[in-house]
Amino acid sequence: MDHSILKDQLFALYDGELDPASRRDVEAHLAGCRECRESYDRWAMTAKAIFPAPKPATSEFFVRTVMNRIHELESPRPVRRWDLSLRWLVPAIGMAFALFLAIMPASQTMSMDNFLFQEMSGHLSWVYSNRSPNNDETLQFIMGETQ
Amino acid sequence: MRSYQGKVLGLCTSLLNNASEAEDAAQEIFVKAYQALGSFHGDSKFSTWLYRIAANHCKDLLRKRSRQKTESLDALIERSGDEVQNLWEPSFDPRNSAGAAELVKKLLDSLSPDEMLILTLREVQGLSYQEISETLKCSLDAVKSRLRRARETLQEKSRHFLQAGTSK
Repeated sequence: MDHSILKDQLFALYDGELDPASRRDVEAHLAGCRECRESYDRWAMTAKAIFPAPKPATSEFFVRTVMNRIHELESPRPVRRWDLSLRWLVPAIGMAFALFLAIMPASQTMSMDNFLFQEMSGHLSWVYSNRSPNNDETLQFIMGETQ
Repeated sequence: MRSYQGKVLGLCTSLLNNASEAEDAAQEIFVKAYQALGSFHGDSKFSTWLYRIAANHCKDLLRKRSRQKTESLDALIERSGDEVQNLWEPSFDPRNSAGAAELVKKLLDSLSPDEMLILTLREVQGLSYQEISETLKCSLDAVKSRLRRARETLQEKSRHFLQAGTSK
């Protein structure tokens, strides 16, 4: 018998999961194979040392505690007054913020075209013609801007 | 709940090795099961369905626990002296010795949550291969191979455990 396959069967024998024919075969092998018998006994001993039979543990207190928790889950939560106000406050704050964001850019920023027409309306000829300003005109423009 | 209390609490105690943690876990499992009752369609036995919830809950707790730093197995063996040897005496019951119980707990804690779970379902709860495959939602072949791997790991660790204990 192949010992690596047999290892599975030894565990199955220990677990009582072998059919009668396989069980007879494995037991016959065990009777004549010291190595497999030792392997089987080693596991039986380890299992006994590590996994003692569990103590049955039941209590009425445990049942009551769980039932109380379940009743708490089932009973409807009382609605408090501030819960109702919060229900409307959160979307209201959100809407106000969105409105603020929508209005803000229009009032705070200015396009480049608006700037040119407002601030430089007298000097647009420099931009749209090939004529460059002379020194006096440039000086007057700068002084006018800084005054 | 009264019919399943012992089994669920037994599974939690075996897996978590701590009575108060096990009781909290078992309470949580019954509350979870109550909340999930709508998802139980009778495809499997009720006990299998409940065991699956219990197994998953305990596995999560074991994973959390394994992330916490604890005393190493070797340090505990060093501290425990002759009790390691006593564990393998035929008449010895580790439940009657606090030191030995702690050693067993530490040995089991050194296994992965999956190994711990499959060994507990088989060795402590006495579930058949078929019941384990339904609880863990895996094939019979997967149960056999996982169980074999877990047992070999445990034997390997306990051999190291025993050698370390006897070499002192």
